Amino acid sequence: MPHLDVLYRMACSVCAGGDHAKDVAQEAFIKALRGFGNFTPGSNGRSWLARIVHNTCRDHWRQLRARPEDQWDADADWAVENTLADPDWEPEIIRNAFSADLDRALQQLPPLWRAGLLLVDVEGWPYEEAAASLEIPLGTLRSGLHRARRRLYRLLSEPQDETQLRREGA
Amino acid sequence: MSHPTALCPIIHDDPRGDTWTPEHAAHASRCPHCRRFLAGVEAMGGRLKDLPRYSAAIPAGLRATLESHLEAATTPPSIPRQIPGSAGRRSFRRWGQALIPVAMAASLVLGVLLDRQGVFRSGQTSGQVARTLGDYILDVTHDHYLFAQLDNSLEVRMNDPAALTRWLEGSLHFSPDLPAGTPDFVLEGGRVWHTVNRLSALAAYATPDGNEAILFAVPAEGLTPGDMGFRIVRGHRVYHGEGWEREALVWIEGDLALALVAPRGHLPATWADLFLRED
Repeated sequence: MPHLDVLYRMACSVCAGGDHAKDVAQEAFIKALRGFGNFTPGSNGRSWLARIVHNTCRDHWRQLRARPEDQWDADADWAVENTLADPDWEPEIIRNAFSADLDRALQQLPPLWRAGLLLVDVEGWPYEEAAASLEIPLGTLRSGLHRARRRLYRLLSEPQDETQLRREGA
Repeated sequence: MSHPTALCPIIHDDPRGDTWTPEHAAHASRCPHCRRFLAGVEAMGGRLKDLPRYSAAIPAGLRATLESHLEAATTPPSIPRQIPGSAGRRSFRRWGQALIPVAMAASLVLGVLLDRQGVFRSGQTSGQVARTLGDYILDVTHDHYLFAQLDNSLEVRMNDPAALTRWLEGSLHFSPDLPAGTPDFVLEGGRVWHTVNRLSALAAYATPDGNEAILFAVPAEGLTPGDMGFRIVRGHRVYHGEGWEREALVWIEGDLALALVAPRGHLPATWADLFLRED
């Protein structure tokens, strides 16, 4: 069941803990079974399922979010990100980052963009399919992903001195 | 440091090059700023792929449960027919003709090849994930909410508790001892479910005000009270919690954790008479 694995990862990417991801996957699958009459034969089944998972994830997230001001697609720092200059990327910073730091940085992205990065950068879905699955315009997906990558990079590169010191001190 | 040009934003918005013209491609190949960016994005994708949350496969227990939903929708209800007094699978009857072709098509979309050997069974007899009763209350109240949203809590409709218990035992490694109904709690049927990494037995009881109280039974192993307070009712420690506009009462009986869930304020006061056995 290749789609189920991807859809489960989508739930994992958004949900804080694995247990909620399982709940979401289960709920989404049942919704898919119940709503299959709305599926148009010949259209993209994977994207249709991903849309159901995405909507289910969003509903869960709204119920459980820690701060009411946080949005599914943006948080307080999201607008600020757009005003910052593009960093001059150093790929080594990413290659040498600790996985825990990368995961922590990932968790600081709004959930929509965690799911977007999964579909596009990890699973390699076409932009059009990912945009349809996340129910956002193509241009929004592209610019949002750019911002998400940039923020990830920034979060990884900012504490580098401290990380370096930790390593050297070890 | 390199200096970004007017073409750089186009490359950064579309690092995969789907919208690039030859001019963009030429720029990307010679601009050091863009080359480092593209190498960084590629490295980031590779690192993300290795993160547990981005590389996880669906857990076997959950996969089996999801397959069982498909199984239930695509095959005749053989299990209830083997049990005297059963009224057949409600889910099959209700979804019936509409859902069978739908689920068959769904299985094609999903790429599902059902392994009919062992589907709906679980070897999960130990090693339950550690969880507090507070978490568990959120889990079961959410499940109750979900069933209400779906208008479908039953996998099988049975009002004979012994027959329902046998039916549940057929899919579980534990045996929930279900009480018979009363006018306040009319036994409707049950379901095998997956409550956060634990196979669970559910029995649904209709209450006089038209609501549904659901009794969940899961192995108690790995469930800890945390800092929850409790009341002693008929010799049992009963924990009370709320979530999803529902309330849950949880107690331990033998090696099972039992949870009775109903919409907030709609649990008949006689619940203890029916569900709590004197220690």
